[in-house]
Amino acid sequence: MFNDKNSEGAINRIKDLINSSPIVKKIKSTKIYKKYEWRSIIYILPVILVLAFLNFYPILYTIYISFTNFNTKFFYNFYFIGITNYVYVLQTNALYTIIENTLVWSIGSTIVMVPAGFILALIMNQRGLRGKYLYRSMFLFPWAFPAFITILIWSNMLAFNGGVVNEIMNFFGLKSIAWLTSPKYAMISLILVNFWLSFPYYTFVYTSAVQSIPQELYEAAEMDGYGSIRTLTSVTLPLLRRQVAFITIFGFIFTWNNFYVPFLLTSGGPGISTQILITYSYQEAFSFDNFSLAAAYSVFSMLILLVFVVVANHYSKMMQVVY
Amino acid sequence: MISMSKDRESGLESRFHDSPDRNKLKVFLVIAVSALFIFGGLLVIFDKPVSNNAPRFIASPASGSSVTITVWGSGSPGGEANVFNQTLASFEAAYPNITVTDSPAINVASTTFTSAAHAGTAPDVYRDTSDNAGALFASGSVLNLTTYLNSSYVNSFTTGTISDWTLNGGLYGIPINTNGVGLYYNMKYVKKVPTTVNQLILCAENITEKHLTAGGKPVYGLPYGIGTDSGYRSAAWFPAFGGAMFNSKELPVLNSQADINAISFLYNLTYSYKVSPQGLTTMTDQEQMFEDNQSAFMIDGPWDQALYTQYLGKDLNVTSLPYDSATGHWARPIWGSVGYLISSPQASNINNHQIWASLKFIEYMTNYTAQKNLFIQAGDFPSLISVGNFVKTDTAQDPLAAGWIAQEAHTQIQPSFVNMNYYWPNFHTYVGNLYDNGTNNVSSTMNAFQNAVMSEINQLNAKPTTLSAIDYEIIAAVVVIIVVAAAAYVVVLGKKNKKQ
Repeated sequence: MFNDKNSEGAINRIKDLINSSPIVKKIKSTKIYKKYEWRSIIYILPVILVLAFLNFYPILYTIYISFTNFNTKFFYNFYFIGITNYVYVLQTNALYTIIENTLVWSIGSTIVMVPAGFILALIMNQRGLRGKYLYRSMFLFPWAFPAFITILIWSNMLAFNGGVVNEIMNFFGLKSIAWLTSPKYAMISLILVNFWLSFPYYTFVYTSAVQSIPQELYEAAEMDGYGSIRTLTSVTLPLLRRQVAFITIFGFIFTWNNFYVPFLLTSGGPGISTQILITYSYQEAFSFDNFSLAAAYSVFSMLILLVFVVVANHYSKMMQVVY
Repeated sequence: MISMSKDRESGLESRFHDSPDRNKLKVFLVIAVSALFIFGGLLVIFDKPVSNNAPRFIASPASGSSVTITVWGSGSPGGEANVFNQTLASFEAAYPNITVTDSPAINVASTTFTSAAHAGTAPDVYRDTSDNAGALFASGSVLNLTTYLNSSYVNSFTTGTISDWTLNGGLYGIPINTNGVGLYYNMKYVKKVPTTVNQLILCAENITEKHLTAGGKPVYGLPYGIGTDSGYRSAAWFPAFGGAMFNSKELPVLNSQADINAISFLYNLTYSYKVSPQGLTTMTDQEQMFEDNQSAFMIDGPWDQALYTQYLGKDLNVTSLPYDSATGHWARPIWGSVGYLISSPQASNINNHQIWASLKFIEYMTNYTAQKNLFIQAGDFPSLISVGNFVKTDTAQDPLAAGWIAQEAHTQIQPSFVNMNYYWPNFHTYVGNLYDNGTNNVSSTMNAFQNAVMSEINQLNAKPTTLSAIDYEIIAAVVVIIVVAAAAYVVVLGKKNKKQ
């Protein structure tokens, strides 16, 4: 009934009709249309749609409800209350402690796990190192286990009574420490557990970065008589400058929003000594059913993080790793 | 060689920066983000909660037609779940036209219900504690059963349990059991049961000291880690010292002298009387000490009784918490209950036939046989008066049952109003911190606790902020700063680009 030639002709006629319409002509004559390749947007459309549903919609909804009174009392009939929630957030006595905790948690974790990952990556990339693959496999273990299980194990290991850490300390004549229930040690414990959970990831990221440096550069450095330290400071570090900046800032962002370690180990306690913005926001939402206030805390947290990232990016140009 | 590589790197960099590809990418990103925001904005605008009017009457389905209801929560694994399954089988045989789709209780929490309710996908019937359910009722997610149940049926339950499930005159659930904590003791150590707070302290001190001087494994009189408590066990002691959690206006009175005295007493168990070890981090620690004959008293509920019996055998007994001889008041544990509730049409799109079926289901699951089985198989104390009478007559010789009956005479109703929600986590935060630190500043802790609860209550009733003149000035100043900074940035960037 249809042949190819006919259908092709029909399509061309439709195309001509569309192209000859004044609106299309007008659009095509604009600078923007001429300059950019619009059809390529089709390729990224699926990703955009997924992001819209899973990311942008929740973010926008969070921002929206942060300006309402969406809580137990106004669960189905909440309404716009302006910046009340934000005023409340800024007036909360605990806010400054929580921000301080969040900074200690994020910076403390980052400055431990990122350099550790880098150093381990350098060690594992040494030429002539025996058992490289064995070490790599071993380093994968903490990361390969489900984090939830690992945290529960750490929780038992750090228990005041009967915890293996205190048992070992007692064996050497040292006093037991309330690792998770003392405000003095709780944050340190969280950072240590987080270090255990995340150093393999940073090790492997840095390994691939280090391996991307051309081997000829190292050979040249060797020929020029560079020692290990000088090779590190003159070859490896300058070439990985942006990767290091990117990984550090990425690590900081990830830790800032890392919820499960503080939540599962201390639930923000003792008191609010390990309460960070994300766990506090969770408490507002799911313990107090005050969803709008929780949303305000989340937006507040996001804004602080955004400022950090913009400033960090400005100085480190780390996003050039991505583009 | 090294400098060459640097040149190469910077050359690549500049090529990459100035490339049309990069511009295209930028434009795409701008367009994509704008499109996403518009798209997301539209989704937000059109995402309105479903609004239905609750039906005021119930009707059974026409003969021959069937109705399906969804149920969340069959109870804890073990005795409760077994009784649920037995009763469910019997219910389905009695009502062949009702199909029950059940999800086991594990991992079903009121937060899960809340999310589902807001999306309109909550189950038709849900099992929860009375205080959690109170918050759900206040949110409009739970049906008011007052209009659906006749008074003779409601009166067949104990007044206390019905009060647990009543909020602002509305009955929002039917209790399946009732319980609270009592004072378990190991008869190996406790020869004379204390009835006053002072006697309890003295007895606990004597036991601790006796075993300390004798050497060997220490035995503590009364292990009590307030840091591990959510405020449930501790609430019993406020009335003993003349205090309470909330006043009649549903506002907290946690910084009253009586409440400070109550928390001081609990704090002193560890730090002054030393009848409890320091550093108790979980309830399990305390339970294990009691099971292993390492403690004389244990404040706990009947849910752990089977385990204690297994370890202590005939040495186990239970009695009521003591009274304070200075105030003459008894310690009154929260006597709460677990029960079934029916979701509102807003929360679950439940229809008339499903409401009818859900009511039949709840009536059946809380009837005489079900509650009697729950008592026998799971140790749950009944909410039905008739089953309570059975317990009293049939277990008169049982010392444990007698202890619970004695405790039941001195209890407080678990508040079901929303403000109670703010008591639990804040207790853990503030009083827990006091215990962990061992700083003895009970008064300031209770002030902070009070303020935290009050702050949440105030926030619940948040109204649109009335901006004063100064607020407007601050906002205007911030906006001006942002605009000027952005303009300066654009100008500087423009000049920089021109130079290049």
